[in-house]
Amino acid sequence: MLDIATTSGPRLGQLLVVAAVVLLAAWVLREQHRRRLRAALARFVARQDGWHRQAWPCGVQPDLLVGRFAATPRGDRRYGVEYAAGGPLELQIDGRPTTCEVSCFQWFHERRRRSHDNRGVRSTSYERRRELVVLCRLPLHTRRSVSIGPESLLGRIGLTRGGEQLESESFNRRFRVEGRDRELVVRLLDAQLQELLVAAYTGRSVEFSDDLLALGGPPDHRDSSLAGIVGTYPAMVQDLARLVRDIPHSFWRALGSDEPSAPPPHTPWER
Amino acid sequence: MDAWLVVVLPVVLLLVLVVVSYNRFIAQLASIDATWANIEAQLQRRHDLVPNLVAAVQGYAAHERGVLEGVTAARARAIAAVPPQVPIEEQARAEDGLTQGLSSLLAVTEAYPQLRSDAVFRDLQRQLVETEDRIAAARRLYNLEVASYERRRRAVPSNLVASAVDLQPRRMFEIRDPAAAHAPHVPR
Repeated sequence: MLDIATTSGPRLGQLLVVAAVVLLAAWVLREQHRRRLRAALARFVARQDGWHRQAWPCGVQPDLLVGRFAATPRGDRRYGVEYAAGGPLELQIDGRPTTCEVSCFQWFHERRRRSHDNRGVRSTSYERRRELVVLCRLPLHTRRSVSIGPESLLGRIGLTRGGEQLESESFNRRFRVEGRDRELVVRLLDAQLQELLVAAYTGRSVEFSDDLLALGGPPDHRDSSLAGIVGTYPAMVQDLARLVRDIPHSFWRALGSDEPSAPPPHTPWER
Repeated sequence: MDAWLVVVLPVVLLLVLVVVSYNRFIAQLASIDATWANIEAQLQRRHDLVPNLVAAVQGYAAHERGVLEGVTAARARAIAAVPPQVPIEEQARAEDGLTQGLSSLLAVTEAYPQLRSDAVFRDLQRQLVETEDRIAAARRLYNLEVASYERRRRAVPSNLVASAVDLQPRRMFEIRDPAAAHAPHVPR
């Protein structure tokens, strides 16, 4: 018994030392990676006129973003915004150059994973997942939200297709469109935009909620001079600008006509 | 008892499927009728706008009589061509005629800067574009409903139900996009 104690003592100590070295190495690597990302973010922000690092994308608290878009899910424990940068950007809205507030960021959330070992002991761990999002504050309100996201596997083969079905079968196979206002949906998704989404935005999500437009998912190209996810930010900004430019005029006109008109003067409740 | 179940259960299941399929056809037909009513309401709104638009233009360009009379005649033809008295294609052509007439009218107004800055005319033009946007959206919704209905009417096994209860085909409503023709031009 004494022998076992004396031999297991040094082994345990060695194991603890190895574990400590591994943890330290992991921490150092993680810190280096973070430092590289922060430096890349600083370089990206310096390139964009008027842009700066942000804690709240487009001035929206993460608590108000969570669950609002497909790209900002709640998860099972923690969630939040990482490496956010934003500022003014000139976009072509309804054919006119319009300066909007735009923000690129990484949304993280934690998913619970339960497992059982051989003895039936349950353990719970959390896996951190990340989504790339570019958010834009539009000058007009979409009072009824519209969501365009990737179609499920069964939907792609036509078994459980839901949401709004449009004219293009290839579009219906790739995207699921949800919206309370069908007229607004068809005004948004004209033939040209359906074609563009199929060609350049497959696998990504586009969502309108109030005056926010969120484009989620990674772009198909990146700036190799910027490290990590920050390298995708210029492409995300480009993709947003292209998408907004190709939104039909009829959609913007529908939002414009939805704007609340001023109340008539001398209404009873004002007296 | 078991043999009885083996015979009855498939029959009941088949009956349920037939009822579900038939009810879905009925829901689709109701939806087609509702979207068609929406098109008619928007077309009616456009017909109602035309006299005001003609009157507004007449105040500044009375000598453009040919164009003004052309629009008025096209409106009269569009109002007269209403299903079921005429086929849906004929109504579509009459509406195309009105779209063409309105295009000529709006082209004429380009030569009258005073008219184009007139608040009443600008408001009427805005209403016209808005109505034509709605016509375009309503037409697409109607055609999507018809396409979905026709797909089920022809596909197996729902075509068996459709032929058993003699469901008639529905026609698409194809007109020139008036919204594209009359919207203020902005580069895309």
